[in-house]
Amino acid sequence: MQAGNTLKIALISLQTNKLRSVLTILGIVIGITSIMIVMSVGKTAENMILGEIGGMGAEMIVIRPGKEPKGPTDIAGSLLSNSLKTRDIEALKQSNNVPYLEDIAPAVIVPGSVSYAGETYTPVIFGWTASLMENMFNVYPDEGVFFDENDIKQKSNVAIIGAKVKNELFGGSDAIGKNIKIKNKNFKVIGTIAPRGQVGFFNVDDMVLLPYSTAQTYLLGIDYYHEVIVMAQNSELVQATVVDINKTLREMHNIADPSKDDFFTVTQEGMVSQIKTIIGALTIFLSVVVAISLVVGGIGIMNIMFVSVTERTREIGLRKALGATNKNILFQFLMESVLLTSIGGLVGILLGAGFAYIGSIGIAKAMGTGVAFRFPVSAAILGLAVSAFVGLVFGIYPAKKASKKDAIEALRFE
Amino acid sequence: MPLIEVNNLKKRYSIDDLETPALQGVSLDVEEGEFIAIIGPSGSGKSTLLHILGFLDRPTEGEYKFEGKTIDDYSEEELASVRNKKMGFVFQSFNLLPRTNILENVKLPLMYSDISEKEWNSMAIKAIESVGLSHRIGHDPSQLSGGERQRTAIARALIMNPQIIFADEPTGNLDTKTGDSIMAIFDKLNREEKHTLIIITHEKEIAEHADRIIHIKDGKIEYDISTNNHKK
Repeated sequence: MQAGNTLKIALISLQTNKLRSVLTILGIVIGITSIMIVMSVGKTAENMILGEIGGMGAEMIVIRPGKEPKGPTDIAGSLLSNSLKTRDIEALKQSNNVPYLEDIAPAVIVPGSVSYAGETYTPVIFGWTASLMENMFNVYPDEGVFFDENDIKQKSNVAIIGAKVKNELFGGSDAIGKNIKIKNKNFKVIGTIAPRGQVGFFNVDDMVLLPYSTAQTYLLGIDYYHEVIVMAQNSELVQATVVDINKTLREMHNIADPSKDDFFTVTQEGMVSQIKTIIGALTIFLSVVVAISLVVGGIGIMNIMFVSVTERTREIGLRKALGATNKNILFQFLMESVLLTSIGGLVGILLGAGFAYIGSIGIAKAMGTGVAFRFPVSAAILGLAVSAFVGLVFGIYPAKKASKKDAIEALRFE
Repeated sequence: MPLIEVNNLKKRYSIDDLETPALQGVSLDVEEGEFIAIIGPSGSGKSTLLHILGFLDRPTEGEYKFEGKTIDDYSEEELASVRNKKMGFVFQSFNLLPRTNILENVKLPLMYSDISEKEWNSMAIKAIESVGLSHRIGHDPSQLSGGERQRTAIARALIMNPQIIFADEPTGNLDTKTGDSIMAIFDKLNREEKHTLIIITHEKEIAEHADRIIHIKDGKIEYDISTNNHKK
């Protein structure tokens, strides 16, 4: 008997039990849909996050105070640490300490809200240097100007606001020259940023920028920094610069043992590998959950195949009388279960791709970036292979049982 | 050489360690082109004999030669192949696949043959025509009368042009008139197309269509007689 005949027989018998076939494959459809969503959204999220990091610039090194966080709870420790001070910045600026340094900018984060004429809004408030925005992120003022070194030296009460902040506080009217209040202190708006959305890790539209010295002295009352951003001369020199930074800061802090560091550096490369590790672990975890759902689906298939074999006992007897061998019967039922699960897999792939597309639109909306959806071919191939495999594994036992049925007993079966 | 040679055939079934004899030494020869009716009360062993003759079961003792080759020399695969190519089966309860139209039902044996799929349709249509069911070709068994269902089953048994057709109470589920029309088909198959036929029945009127009547009782042949039919 040709293999084509087996396929034909299997197709005919699945067609004659349409509703049952559809209900049976539901478990597989859901399982494969989940695989597709997990893999595809995981990939899309990874691409988007990596894109963000890419936006941060390969030359950028971020120095943070405290111990390197090993988990989410360590981040608070980093924000509370006061190890990065002005004298560290001065030391890093020395070209004999860090020769490949192109630019350096300390930063502080100010918690709180801004208000103007009764309107209050809570943006992200940074004490920073404005030159960094221009040099590193290509963000330029839309109206007015950015503050400069002078403003930082004189601790001027000036602010640059993002497009969304401007809209929230001023609506359509002009913002330049107006005084906004942060923690009851007046800041004169000297510049606004055109709508840009996400740049690097920040939503520029939602930012208020102050000179870091002003924020340190008048708003926070601290003499240290939350973060220091260093630009290397080019991306090739990042690693060498990190080594120089570590050496300089250890000298400044009198640290001999690197494990006792009270600061750490973050580079694009490091973040990429970290995020890949996190997403990889998440994907594995979700895949295990999906695998369990597929096993459940497979048991459903096995169950219905047993029912089908019993129900069609006479058919099996008849087929044997008409010349079917045990092998023919085995392959017929095996083909049926593989066909069932493969059809389920195909439907799951299409559904999964659909949901993943919708999901990627959601992610894009949430992160304010363009939709970065790609049909996950590898997930589709995996899904189809897995579904066929489930059919094979869970179909073999019922099919064996069918093939072993005695022809006469089967023909007598009521 | 006879088509079928049976010598002292015995069959015992053991259910829960209890041995039930079904055949207790049956001997008979069947020549090609014969039309034989096996009659006997229920439980006499006639179905068991038919199953063994039809390669669906193996004897416990004794010898069964089909085309001169003893059944012990056939592997399971070869038995299946002989059933497919050289034997046709007609059952009391028709055994048609539900929700599958007449054409596909009749094609069933072809799926286990080496015949190319291109010829399936024309072969099935020819077989359906020969039992006078051309107008029902696309119908499902549920839309057919009992007689039409049995004619479909006969078409299915004929499609491979087998040497021998076994029919197990083919008219048992039909009224007398319909039964007669089915027997008319069997008569034609034997007289005109020279198919060897073995029919099991418990009705004397049906048995009288045959050339030879074998009466079985308690697993033994009680008598084996020729009728005058072949002279007609």
